[in-house]
Amino acid sequence: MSASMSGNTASSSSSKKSLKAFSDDIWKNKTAKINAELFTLTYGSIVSQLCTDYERDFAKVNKQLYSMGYNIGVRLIEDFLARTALPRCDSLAKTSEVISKCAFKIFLNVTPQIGNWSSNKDSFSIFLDENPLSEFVELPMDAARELWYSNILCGVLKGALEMVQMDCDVYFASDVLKGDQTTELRVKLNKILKDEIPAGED
Amino acid sequence: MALYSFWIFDRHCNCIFDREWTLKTNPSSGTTNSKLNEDTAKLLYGMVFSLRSISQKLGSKGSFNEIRTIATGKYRAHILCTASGLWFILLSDLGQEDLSQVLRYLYSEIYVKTVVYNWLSPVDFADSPNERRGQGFRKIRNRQFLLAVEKFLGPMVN
Amino acid sequence: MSQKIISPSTSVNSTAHPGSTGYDYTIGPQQTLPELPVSSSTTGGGIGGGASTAVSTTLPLPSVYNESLNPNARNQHVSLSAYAFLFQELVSQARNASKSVSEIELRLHRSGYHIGIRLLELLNFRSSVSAGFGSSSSSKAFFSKTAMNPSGNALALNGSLSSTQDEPSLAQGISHMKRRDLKPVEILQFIHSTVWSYLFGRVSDDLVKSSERENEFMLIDSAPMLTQFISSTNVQCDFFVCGIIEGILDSASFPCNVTVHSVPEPNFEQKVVFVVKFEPQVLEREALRA
Repeated sequence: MSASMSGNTASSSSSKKSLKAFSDDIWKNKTAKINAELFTLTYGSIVSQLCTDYERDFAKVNKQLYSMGYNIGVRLIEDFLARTALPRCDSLAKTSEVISKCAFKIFLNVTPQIGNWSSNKDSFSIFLDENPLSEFVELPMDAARELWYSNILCGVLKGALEMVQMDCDVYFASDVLKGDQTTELRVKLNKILKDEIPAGED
Repeated sequence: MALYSFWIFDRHCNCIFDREWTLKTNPSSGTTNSKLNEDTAKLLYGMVFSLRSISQKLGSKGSFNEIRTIATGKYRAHILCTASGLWFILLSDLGQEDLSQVLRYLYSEIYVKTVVYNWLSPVDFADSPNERRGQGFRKIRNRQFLLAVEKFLGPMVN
Repeated sequence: MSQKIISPSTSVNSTAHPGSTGYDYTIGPQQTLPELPVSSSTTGGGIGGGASTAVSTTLPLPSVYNESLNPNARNQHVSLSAYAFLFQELVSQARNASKSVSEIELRLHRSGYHIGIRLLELLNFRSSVSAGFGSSSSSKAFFSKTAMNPSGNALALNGSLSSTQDEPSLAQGISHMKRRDLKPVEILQFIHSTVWSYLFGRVSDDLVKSSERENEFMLIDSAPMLTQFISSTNVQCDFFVCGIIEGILDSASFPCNVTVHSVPEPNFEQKVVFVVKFEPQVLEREALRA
């Protein structure tokens, strides 16, 4: 029996090109697109319906948005991997770069900035200068106090990262919709999960 | 040129789809999601699992050394392992040197579009912790997926 | 603070009508602004996280009036897959909150309706902007700051709101606001072409008048975009699009009822027909106008 092995082709080809050029190409040439305003309006419709359903209990709305995001994340990761053929990241720095330059780009056509690394490099922030979810959004006073309007994004990242074995906390630290200067999403890596192995193998 | 079988394993070490063709002359022959293939699936999983751990130990730390094909005297196994822990495996005769594009297509055009985009289909096929670690039994049964697989792989069977 | 007026016609001097809030037939349609949240820079800071309170220049809560309606002002597209995932969650949410299939469809319809009522004005406004604005090369020059008349209402307004100054404004490109459609056929053609192109990037496949019933029209879509990944379910998710259509028609004063029926064909398995059924009063009005 012979076995042939080699490095992942996609990773070697993408490291030659910059990750940005790689993602731009996917966005331009390999991505079916839809009107961004329809996306914004549809999300707005979801959030406002939740606010009604939960009688403006915004803590519940945040939670529900997060769980909807999680459901999306565990599926979206497969779409992401299918289109990019990227391997797992070997460092959190690499992960942050892939999230901002690649994932946000090919799904939402924005490239948020990464920053605010913790001293032990286990957490970072994503600064959303542009946020397709919240264009044209103005929060009523009661909602501005408690609602994290784009909380679905936290769930998406949580779910997607978990599927590549990264157990993370993801939450909003600030949002321009609340009068903050920036929209800052915080990602903290708790641990790398182990791949499952068949029962009886350990 | 011939395809013998197609397998998908999930992140819980379970075989979530198997398709075996028995007659080269008839692409609709053989079995789909068959109980009879349970043992074969376990052996196939075990073989890839072992070779995969060896290849990863051989590679230098930090670089990926993913297993792609395994050849024996009679057949060749083509393997695609995704970062999310899915394995797509095709068994063919020795004539098929490289089916990596076929595997990619099965993943990105068929699995993603008919299973992942389809909210009526689960993406996690283990309903409870008891069904993880190779103890699961659920399969991909959605019609669109099955049709797409037959349509795509059928012409390659013989 | 007196109310500022954005007037679609640049020839109108807003100061001549200070504080006007009602409709003035000498001016035509105009948008009025509520009191600007000047004081909200303090409230906004108070609500925000510690970071923003620490900074002296806290921002007021963002106001939608700062935003440009120019479609080129921001990203025009997101990926279809991102939308598909979001739409799935919209449907799941409706499903979890409902007891029956018709209730799910009603909720989807309602979600769409809220989008529809927002689209009529927006798309009418955009289609009123003189031709040539859409083409990106010419519009760039036009939308650049220097090309804007400094005394124009749009810029004055932007200044007063201390918004980003380089956001292009469409207001000056409007010579005449498109008159609203008065006939059922006109408004349906608007949906068939303008609305469909806006939503799905192409016109709908056909617009047909029912031969049996005077008040029924059919919009045909051979490959519905939003529901293409949803298979074999007894829930008709295109009720969301029904809601959009009905929202547009309702806000244009064409009360109606829109339903969707799937009519699979060999090459178009997901083909659907949207049936628009106008209320009797629409036909009565038509008869009077004739």
